[in-house]
Amino acid sequence: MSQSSEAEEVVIDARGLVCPHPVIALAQAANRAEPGSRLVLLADDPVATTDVPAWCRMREAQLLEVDRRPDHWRFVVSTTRPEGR
Amino acid sequence: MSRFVLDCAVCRPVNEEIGRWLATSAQRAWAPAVAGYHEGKVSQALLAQSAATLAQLAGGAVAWFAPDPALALRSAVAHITQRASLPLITSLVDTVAVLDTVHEAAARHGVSEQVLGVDSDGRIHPDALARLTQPVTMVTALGNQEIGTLQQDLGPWKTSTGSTVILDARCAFGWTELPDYWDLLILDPRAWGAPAGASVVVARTGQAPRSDFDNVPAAVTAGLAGQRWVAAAPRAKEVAGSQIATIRRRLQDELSGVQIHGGEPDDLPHILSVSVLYVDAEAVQTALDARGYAVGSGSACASRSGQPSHVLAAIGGLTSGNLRIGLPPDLGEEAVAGFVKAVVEVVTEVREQMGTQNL
Repeated sequence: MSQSSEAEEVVIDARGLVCPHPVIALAQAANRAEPGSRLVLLADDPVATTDVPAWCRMREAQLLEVDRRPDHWRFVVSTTRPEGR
Repeated sequence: MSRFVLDCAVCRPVNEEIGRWLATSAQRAWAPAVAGYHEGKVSQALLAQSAATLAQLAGGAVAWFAPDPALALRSAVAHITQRASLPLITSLVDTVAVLDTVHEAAARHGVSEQVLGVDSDGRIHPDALARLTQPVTMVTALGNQEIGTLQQDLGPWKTSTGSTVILDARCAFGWTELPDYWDLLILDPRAWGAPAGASVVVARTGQAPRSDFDNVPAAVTAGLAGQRWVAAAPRAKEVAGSQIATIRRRLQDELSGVQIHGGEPDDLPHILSVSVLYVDAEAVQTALDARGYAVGSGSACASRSGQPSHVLAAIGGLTSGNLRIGLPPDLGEEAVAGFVKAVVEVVTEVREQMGTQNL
């Protein structure tokens, strides 16, 4: 697993990890990130397609995008709460 | 060390008394029910008597047996579909046995099939139901075996569309009042502590199809255990409902990052699904097992198939770190307290081992 950060975007490469580890990697990155960061999680475990949205609902994070790539999924998550909540 | 099996939604341990009934039945009903001599006729009579008992307990006219739940479902679907070629409908949260049976039967009988979506509680989505305006054959569960949700009242829909309902009451029988909207009912006596081998189809009206079912000892034991269960169920409902409420409340209070399904007033009283963030479900399940508590899991890592629970996925639930609890009817209060303590300690330990305790 490697991480690289740009201005406001943290990429978490969880490819090769299986449940519950992609969600753990996401949660660890969310803990470290500045509020308002965009977290980009790359995962190839199909379980992530259920558990990343479920984690977002439990942690009041916002799932901004889910892209199906040829050999993995790309999830974009914002840890700020949506407006009005 | 005491041992507590808390994975009783689908099947319960066979206790000593029911084990003795099985042994006695095996001796009395050893002969094939089709044998044309006295002993065969004894087997035939015992089989018929047990079927009649179960039909009466469920409020139906007739019942028949099948060797396992999937074959009971197949028999029920064939019973309806031979008379009327209606589309077969089920839902996303029904059991794999139901989903597979509907799929195979649709191909075999040349009818269409549809798997309906559900709401976040796991009930057939009202909009999906409202779109079904023509007669169909619905095959669905009365109570969900993983999350305990009771199906919405399908009666008005059934009446207005002239549909047929095959109701899978395997884990709900005794734990809740049976509704009156079913045409055929599927039961599995393993759910009330009878041995495997004699699953049941009950028909509200009509006659049983011809059957070569031959596990008479299992069928006889199923009927006896069924009578015992129906008598015990009213008290069991109250006790389990209160115990599930305790487990639910305490786990929510004492653990962070838990998501719980079941244990609401409209749910089956004995079922709870607990998903815990940042733990390996198999590690938690194994550690609880070592402490004397057997629980199920809907997590991919703890399943033989390597697939997460399709029920949790359908309702948008967390599939990792999942524990499935199905209480038996005779659990002591000390076991409930011990179980909650064990879950809290084991989750804490596993999180420490995984370095996720501060997430």
